[in-house]
Amino acid sequence: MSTAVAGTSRAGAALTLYLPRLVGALIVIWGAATLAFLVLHLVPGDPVDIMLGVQSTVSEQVRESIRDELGLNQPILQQYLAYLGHVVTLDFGRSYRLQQPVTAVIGAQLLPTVQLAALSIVFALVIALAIALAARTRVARAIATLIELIAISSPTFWTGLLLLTVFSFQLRWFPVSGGQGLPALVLPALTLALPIAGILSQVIRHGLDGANAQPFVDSARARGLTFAEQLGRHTLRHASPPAVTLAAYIVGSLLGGAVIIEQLFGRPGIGRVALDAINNRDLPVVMALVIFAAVVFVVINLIVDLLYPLIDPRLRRTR
Amino acid sequence: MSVGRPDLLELARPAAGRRRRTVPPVGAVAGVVLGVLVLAAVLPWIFTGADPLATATSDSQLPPSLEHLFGTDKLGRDVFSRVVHGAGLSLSFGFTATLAALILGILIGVASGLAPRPVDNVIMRALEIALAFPELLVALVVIALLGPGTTNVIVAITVAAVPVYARVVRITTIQVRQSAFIEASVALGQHRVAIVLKHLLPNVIGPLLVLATIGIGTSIIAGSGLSFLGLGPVSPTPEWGLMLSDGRNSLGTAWWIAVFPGLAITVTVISTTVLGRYLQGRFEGRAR
Repeated sequence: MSTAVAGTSRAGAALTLYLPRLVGALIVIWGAATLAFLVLHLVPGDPVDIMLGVQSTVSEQVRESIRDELGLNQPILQQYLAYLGHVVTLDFGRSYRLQQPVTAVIGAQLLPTVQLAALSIVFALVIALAIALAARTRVARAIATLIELIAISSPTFWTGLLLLTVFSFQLRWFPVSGGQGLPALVLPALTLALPIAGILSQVIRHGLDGANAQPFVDSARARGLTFAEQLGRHTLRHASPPAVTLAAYIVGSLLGGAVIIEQLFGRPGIGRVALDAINNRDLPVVMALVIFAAVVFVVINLIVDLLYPLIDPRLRRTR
Repeated sequence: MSVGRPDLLELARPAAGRRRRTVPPVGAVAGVVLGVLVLAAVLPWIFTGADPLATATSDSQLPPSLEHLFGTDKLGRDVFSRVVHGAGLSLSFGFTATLAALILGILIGVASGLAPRPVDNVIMRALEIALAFPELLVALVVIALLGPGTTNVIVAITVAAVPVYARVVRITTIQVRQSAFIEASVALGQHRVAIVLKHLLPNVIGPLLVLATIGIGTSIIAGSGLSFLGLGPVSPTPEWGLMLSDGRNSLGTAWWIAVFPGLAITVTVISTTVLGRYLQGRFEGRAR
């Protein structure tokens, strides 16, 4: 990858390597979009009724004109094709409740959730590495296992409450709720990070054990490399691929977790939008979020595929 | 929400040999704890005589004492009694949803594993798409469609958990299908249904039970999480997730209202995880 040879065979090889993955990625997004369409049309109740609300007294004539406008009177296949066209152009229709384009509703709330997720990943990585690297003796291992077990088993809405009790109500280090600035971000991000740190630490520890049994570590040790050098150049690289494999799942669970965290800490964001949409049966918003989650999943997986050869030299120039 | 999707925990499993010597007592302890919790779910009045719904405004927000082990909430209800009585609903999220998801997962997985290649491919792709979404998100979408409520929460967690089991069953089915004893049964002219029931299913269910034990914990977290969001049972029903969200507002003055139901969830989930891993160790020890 470092030598940029622009030969046709090289490009062809890259194409055969990545084309199936790209097609696979598009299939996942298409599947999610189709599922969203089916669900929108299979859901009991008239979309127009849901849109107008239960107590609306709009006449049948107006309802009919809304149906025409939304294309609900066309054959289902035609509706489906039109819908796919809209999805491709990122047009998810209008929110039933807010009467705004769905893209605008989601776009306006994207930043707080991205900030939350980003800081959570940083926290999770730091905590996981700290635990995994500290667990080098038998006793430390037992303690690490226990910490990981508790981190994975505790629901975030409980750890969040514990952190709030101690650091916001008792010590008053952080604000109780709200979305302003870095201090308000610390506790929510930490809460979201803990279960992820637990699982990451297990995976990294497992990977380090495997790496230490490899001959290249013996050779590195024989060459007189310090522990830190071994770690940076060899063992951590070996331990990383399984952890990186989890990346897409972890980002997914950050999205899901954001729903609970944003509610718990009174923060704005995508999770809040999702919960509001669910409570009000604002289905266009829900379905756009489903497609959004699919796109995030697919993009992360593609990035992961590209990262593997950079992390583990043995995966380079294969195939 | 926990990231403890049962099949992903596999990735992080420590080597079997080292663990088996130390784990058995831990596994037994987890089993006993879980047994006590199930007992509380079935027969709550063994543990407490206090009524979980009885309000007493004079006893509002009393700290934990001998009379009220876990203190009282805003309306003067006994938190210990509410936690004990809450076990029923919270555990049933885990057990009911996991059982339903297991049955559906086995049906889909076996069907896919035995189906002709093109059909299997389509089902597999569909499972992969389903697995692309975090469980909580799937559950939330189901709730968005069906509306909130206790039953719908169970349906939602079930739907979210099925793909994991179906995928594992499909893989084991394909492995077992190619094994010699199945070939022998086919050669002996046994009926296909009999082969599936007598030879295939027992082999598929074994590894699945381990996953399911861990899955119960995951489902309990999901169920109480949805309740916490206000999408499940409604007040004054004693349910751990709901109690937590009620307690959130009095965190500054009465921490015990939220802390003890959360502790109950965590202890339950730790027990299922530890028991699941213990069973896993036993299962692998036998297979070797």
